[in-house]
Amino acid sequence: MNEQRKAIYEFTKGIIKENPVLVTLLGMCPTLAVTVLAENGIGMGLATTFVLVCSNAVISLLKNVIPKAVRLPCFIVIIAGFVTFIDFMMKGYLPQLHSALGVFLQLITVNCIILGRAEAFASRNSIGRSVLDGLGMGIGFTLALFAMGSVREILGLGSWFGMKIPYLCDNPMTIFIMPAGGFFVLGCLIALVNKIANRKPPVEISCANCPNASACKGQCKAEEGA
Amino acid sequence: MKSKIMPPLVLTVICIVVCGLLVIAHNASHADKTGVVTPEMKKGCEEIFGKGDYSMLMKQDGHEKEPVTFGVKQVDSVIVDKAKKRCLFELTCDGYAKGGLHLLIGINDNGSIEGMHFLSVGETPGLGAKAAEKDYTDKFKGLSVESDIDGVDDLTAATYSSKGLKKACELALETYSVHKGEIFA
Repeated sequence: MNEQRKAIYEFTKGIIKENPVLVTLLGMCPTLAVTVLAENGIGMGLATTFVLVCSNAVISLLKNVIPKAVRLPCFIVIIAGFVTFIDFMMKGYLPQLHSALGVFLQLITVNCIILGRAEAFASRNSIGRSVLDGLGMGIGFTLALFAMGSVREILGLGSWFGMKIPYLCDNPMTIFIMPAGGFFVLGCLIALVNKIANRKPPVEISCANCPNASACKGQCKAEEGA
Repeated sequence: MKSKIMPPLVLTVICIVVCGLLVIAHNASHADKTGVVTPEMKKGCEEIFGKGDYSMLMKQDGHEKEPVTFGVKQVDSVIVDKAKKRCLFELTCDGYAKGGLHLLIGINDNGSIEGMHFLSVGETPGLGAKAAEKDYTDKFKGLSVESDIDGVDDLTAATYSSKGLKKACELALETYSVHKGEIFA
């Protein structure tokens, strides 16, 4: 029962609580660049989910074989292999989507979500948990991109998946499909997810809440005192 | 000794396995479309000129055949309907995005633009992509090599895409006027 709960947690944490885009703020480049259309967001999200699940599975499988000294180059080769595979498939079977995603499809290789999950999770956990983690994070990423793409397409183009929306299609707010609109929508979505997750800012900024604490080791406090 | 050999060995083995699997994936997904009028192209040809016998002009280069481009970088291929003396240029031009405009431009037997069909548009939806809409592309209909293409107004918020489209039309018309004889030979 406990194992089942853990598995459910590994899967669901990436969707809202640890959403890679809206909570941990990783993978910002593709998030802002390709979400002009909801369709692009789904395509990019699914491609990333595929790479995330497959690379997590393979890295978890090989975690005892890969020496620590070359773990990062090995992870990158495995991730790049899956990205190239999905690039071939998309070019062959979905050329329109391939053209719309452009260079950002190849750049999945250096997406920090994937390398981050490989290093922080897959290289330390069993294959089953790693796959669930990859799937949850991938779905979280896809949902975030889909939400951003939908808002930007509806407000900026007055359409959704090519369907015209009355009034908005005659008076689109073009700012939403421009970079500034992307940042604005991203900010609103982050605020919304924080509200849903009931996340509050820390009352006092201390080493306990600081992500750089391990590297800094209280140096900043000493400097402040001086 | 083991600690020095193992890391590069494991990395090499992983690289070889990944490369091998990618070769298989490439062979399974790649189809050589050189010289083939794809269904999308055929649809474009029929949209511009109606039904006809369309074929791509090819040249023999050693053992390999490749599409005729008349040495123009932006021209990908030339499709002709020799019986009705009409041809279409497949071009890839830069708009705001590099290679953002991939289209067919149809030129009729009078040497003027009959119409155009976009095979893919990599421009920003809602902005540059407006240059591919029928309302705008219709403005190029009937223009010939003697016409002033710059006389067609650029679209607001799609200046680069409009200029890219004008460049594509200019290239198609110039290439047609220079190589007309070779196209229908």
